[in-house]
Amino acid sequence: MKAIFLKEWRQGHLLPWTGLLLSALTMLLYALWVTRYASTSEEVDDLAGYCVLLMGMGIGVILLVSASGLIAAETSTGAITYLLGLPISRSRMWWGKVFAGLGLTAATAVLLILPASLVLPGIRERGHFLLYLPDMVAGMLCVFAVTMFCSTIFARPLTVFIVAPLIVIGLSFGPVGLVAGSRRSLLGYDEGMADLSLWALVLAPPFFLASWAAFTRGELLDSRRHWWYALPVLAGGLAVVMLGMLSATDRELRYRRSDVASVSQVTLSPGSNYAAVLVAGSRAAFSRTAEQGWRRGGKTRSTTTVLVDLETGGDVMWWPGWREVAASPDGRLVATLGGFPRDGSWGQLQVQQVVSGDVVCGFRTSYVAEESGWTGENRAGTWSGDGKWLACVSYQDLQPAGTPAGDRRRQQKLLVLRADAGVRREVLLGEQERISGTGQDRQPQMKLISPEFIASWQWVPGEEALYLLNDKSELSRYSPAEGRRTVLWRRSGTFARREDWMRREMRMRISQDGKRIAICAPEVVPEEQHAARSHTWVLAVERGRIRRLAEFTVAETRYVPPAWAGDNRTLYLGANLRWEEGQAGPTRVRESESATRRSTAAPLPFGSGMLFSGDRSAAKAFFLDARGKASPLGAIYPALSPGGRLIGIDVQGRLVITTGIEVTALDPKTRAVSRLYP
Amino acid sequence: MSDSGYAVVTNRLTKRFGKKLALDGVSAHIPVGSVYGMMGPNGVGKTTFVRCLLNMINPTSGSMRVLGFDAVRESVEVRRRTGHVAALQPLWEWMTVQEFADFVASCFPHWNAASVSSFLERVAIDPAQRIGTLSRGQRTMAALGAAIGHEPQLLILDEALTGLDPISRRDVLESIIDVMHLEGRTVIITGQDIADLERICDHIGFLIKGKLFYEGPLEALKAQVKRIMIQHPSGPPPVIPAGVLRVNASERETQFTVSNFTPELLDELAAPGRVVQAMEMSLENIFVDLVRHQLGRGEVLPALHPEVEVTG
Repeated sequence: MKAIFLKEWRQGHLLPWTGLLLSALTMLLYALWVTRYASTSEEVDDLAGYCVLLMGMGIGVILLVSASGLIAAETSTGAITYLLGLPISRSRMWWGKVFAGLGLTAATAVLLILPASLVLPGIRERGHFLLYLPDMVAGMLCVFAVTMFCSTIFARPLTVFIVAPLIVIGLSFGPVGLVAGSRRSLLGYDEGMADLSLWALVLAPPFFLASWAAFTRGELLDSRRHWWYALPVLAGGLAVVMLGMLSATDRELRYRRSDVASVSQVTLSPGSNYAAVLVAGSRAAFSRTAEQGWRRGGKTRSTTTVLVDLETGGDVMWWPGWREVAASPDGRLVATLGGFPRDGSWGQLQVQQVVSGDVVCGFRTSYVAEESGWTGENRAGTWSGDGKWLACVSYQDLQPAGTPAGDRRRQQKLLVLRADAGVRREVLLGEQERISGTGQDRQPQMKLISPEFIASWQWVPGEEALYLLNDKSELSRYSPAEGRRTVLWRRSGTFARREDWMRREMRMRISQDGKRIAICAPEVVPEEQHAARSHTWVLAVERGRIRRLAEFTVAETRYVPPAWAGDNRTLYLGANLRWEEGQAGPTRVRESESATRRSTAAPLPFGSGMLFSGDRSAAKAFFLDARGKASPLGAIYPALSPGGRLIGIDVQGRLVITTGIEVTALDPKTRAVSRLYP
Repeated sequence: MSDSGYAVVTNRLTKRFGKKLALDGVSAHIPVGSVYGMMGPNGVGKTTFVRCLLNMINPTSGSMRVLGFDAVRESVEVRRRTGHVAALQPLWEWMTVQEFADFVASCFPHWNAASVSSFLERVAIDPAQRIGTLSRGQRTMAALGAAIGHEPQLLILDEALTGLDPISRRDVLESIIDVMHLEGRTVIITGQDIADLERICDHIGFLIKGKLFYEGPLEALKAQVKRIMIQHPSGPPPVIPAGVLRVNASERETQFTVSNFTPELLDELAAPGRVVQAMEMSLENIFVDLVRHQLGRGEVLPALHPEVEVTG
C-alpha cells in the first residue's frame, strides 16, 4: 500500500502547489477588488466570502482532477496491467490510491486555504469559516467517493470528470431529494448544513464500497466484470442508506405531529419539584397572541395554569387566565402574566407564593402582541439568580391627538421588581413613533423618539445586576439595589446598518461564566424582509472586544436567540433554513478565540444550554448534553430548569419532563406517564 | 515450490468473456527450469492464459498452481516470485527509468539492484531518462530490467519481444537465458516469432482457438512430427497413411507430414522404385502444418507428458 501511495503521491505532487497558486490568485483578486468594493454599499466581508467561495470551487475541481485519474488514467494507458502484475493485493492497491487521493486533496486544500486565511482580513475575522471545515470535509469525502467509483468503472479520466459531478447532482435530486422533498427533517432537528453533511457522509460509504468491490473483485481487464460488482454493491449500499434515513425520519415524525398543538409554555420550578404548565382543559391551549388562541366551538377558551407535582403527576394548584409563567429559581415564587382581554387578565403581572397562592405584588403592564414580535423571552419576566429580582418589559401604546388612525406612539418600560417586597423600579423609558405607511402596502414605519430603546436585557450570572443592550449598541450594567446604571461598552455604529423596525429583535445571551455576550442583530429594511441578514457578534466583556461570528438570513434565525453551551465557548444559533416549512435546526458556532480556550477549566454542567428554535407555529426544543451535543426533544417551546437539570416541553397537551435525552410524558389530566424518547 | 517438478500446472482452465470462449479447458504443464514457448495465432488466448496465471483475471472454471501456490487464492505469493512483461508494456511516462525501477523494487521484499543496473547498461538505457522519451523497444527492455530485479523463479514474457529490433531481441533473449535458464528458473514466452522461440525454448505449447492441442519438449515434437518425402518416378503414388497433417503430391513425388513418426513407418512405405526419406522440420513448419490441420479437424494431439492432477 505504501508503494502505491508513494507512487500516486509522486504522480500528483504538483497538485498541492496549484492550491498555493490559486490561493495567491485569490489574494491578488482580493487586493484588486477591495478598494473598489469599499466604495460600494457592500461589506468587505462579503468580498472575502466570495473569495472563500472561489477557493471552495477550486478545491472541488482539484479534487475531481486528482480522484478521476486514480484508476481510470492507468486503465486508459494500459499501465494497469503492469500494476496488477505486482505482488500487492488489489485491496492494498485500492487503499493506497484512496489515501493518496485524499492526502493530495487535503494538502491542496491546506495550501489553498491557510495562506488566504492568514492574509485575507475577512476570513481571519470571520473565523466561523473554519468552523465549517467538518462540513466541507464531509462534502469533499462524498465527491471523492463518487469520483473514485467512477474512476473504477470508467476507463477514461475525462469520462469520470464529466460523469462524477453529474452523479453528485443526481444524488441531490434523487435519494437526498426523496427525503428532503417530503418535507421531513432527516434527524428531526437540522435541515441545514449538518443535514447535508450527514447525507454526504452516509452516501460516501456505498460509493467507496462499490469502488472497492469493483477494483478487487472485478477484472478491469478485457471484460466488464467489474460492473457486475460495482452496480449491485452500489445499489445495495444506497438502499441500506435510504432505508436507514427514512427510518430515522419516521422516528422523528411523532414529534413533528405535535406541531398541531399551538404554542404553549412550560416553566419549571425544580427547587420545589413542581412544574407549572399552561393548559386549557387538558390540552395545550394557545399561542402567545390572543388572536391565535386555541378555539373550540367558535369560542376562545380561557387558559389555566396548573401546578403539577412531577413525582406524582398530581395537580397542586390551578390558576385560570394566566398566559405566561416564570418561576423563581428557588421555586417559592411565581410570576404570571395574564393574556386574555375577555377575562380582564390582559397585561396583568403578579408575583405570588407558589404553595399558598398569596399574591406578593402585582401591577398592570401593556404590550401589543402582534408588533412586539416573538423573542423567545418569557414575558412574565426573568428572575435574577438569587430569586430576589424580577425584570420584565412593559409596552404602552398611545394615540397622540390629531394623528391619523394607525399612528401610534409606543413607550417602553423596563421594570425591575423586588419581588418579595413588591418594590418596583422603572429603569428606562424608550419611545417609538409608529407612522402609518402611505405606500400601496401601507407598511408602517417606526421612528425613534427617545434617546434609546432597550433591545435586550439579561441578568448577570451570579450577580444582582442586569446587562442592558440598547439599539445604539451600548452595553450597560444596571444594579437595581444601587439604582445605578453604568455604560460598559459602546460600539461605534449600530449593529444594524440600516434604520429598521426590527432592531428591537436584537438579542443578547450571556455565557454561563458571564465573560462573553452573544449578540444577534438583524439587518433589514421592511420591504426586503426575506433578504434580511442576521449577524451574530460575540463581545468579550472584560476586554471590550467584539467580533462577528456568523451571518445568516433572518429567515434562518427567525427571532431565535442564541444559546451558550456549558463550555462557554460553543454557541448554538437557531438556523431555520426552511422556516417557511416550519422546520428548524441549530447551527453550532464555536469560538476560536484564544482567550476563550484558556477559560474552559470548569467542568461542563449537564444540560447546560438550550436552543429555542423555529417560528411561531413550529418551534422545536433541543437539549444540549454535557458534550455539547444537541438532541431533539419536542416541538414547542421548552424551558430549562435553573439548575440545568430538567427540561420541560409540551407535546399535545402533555407535560414532558426530561433529564438528558430520555423523555417521559406526563399527562396532567390522566396523570399517565409514558416514555417518548428514545 | 513446485508440483512434481512443474512450475505451472493448469487443469482444464477455462475463461469465458461473455459468449466468447477465450480458454477452453487448457491443461498445461510447464516444467521447472524450462524455457516454455506458448505459440499460437493472434487472439487464441495466450495473453488470457498469462493473465489467469497471475490472477489478473479470474478463470471461469478450472484450477491452476504456479510455483506450488494456488494462483487464485495465493496470487500475491505467485506474483512475488514472478516477473512479468507484456507486449509493448505501457508504463508511467512521467517516471524516469530509475524511479520506475525504484517503484517496482518497493513492491518486492528482495531486490537485486545490481542486476537491474547491469541489464540496463547492457541494453544501453540511461536510468535518468524519462520513460516517456524511450522508444517502444526501450520501454520493453526497461520493463524487462525491472522484471528481473527481484530474481523471479518464473519469468513471463507475454509477446514481450514484439517491437524489438533483431539485435536487441537477440540481446534480450540471451540475457534472459543467462539470467534465468542457467540458474534453473522457468521462463514462459508467448509470441508468434517462432524462429526466435525455437532458438531458446526447450518446451513448447500450441494454443489454437483457446485449446492447448500440443504441449511437450521441443525435441520430442521434432522427433514426432516429420516430413516424409517419397520419390516414385516410375511407380504409382504411395498410399497415404491415415492421420497425416498435410500432403503435397505430384506425379513423381509425394510429401506429407506425419505427427506420429516412427522408424517403422519408413519400412512400411518402402517399395521397389521408391525413395523414402524422413526430413527434419523447422518448428515454424511444424506449427504451420499443425495449425492448418487443427483448424480443419479440431483434433488434439496426444499429450507427451504424464497426467498431473492439480490439487487445491
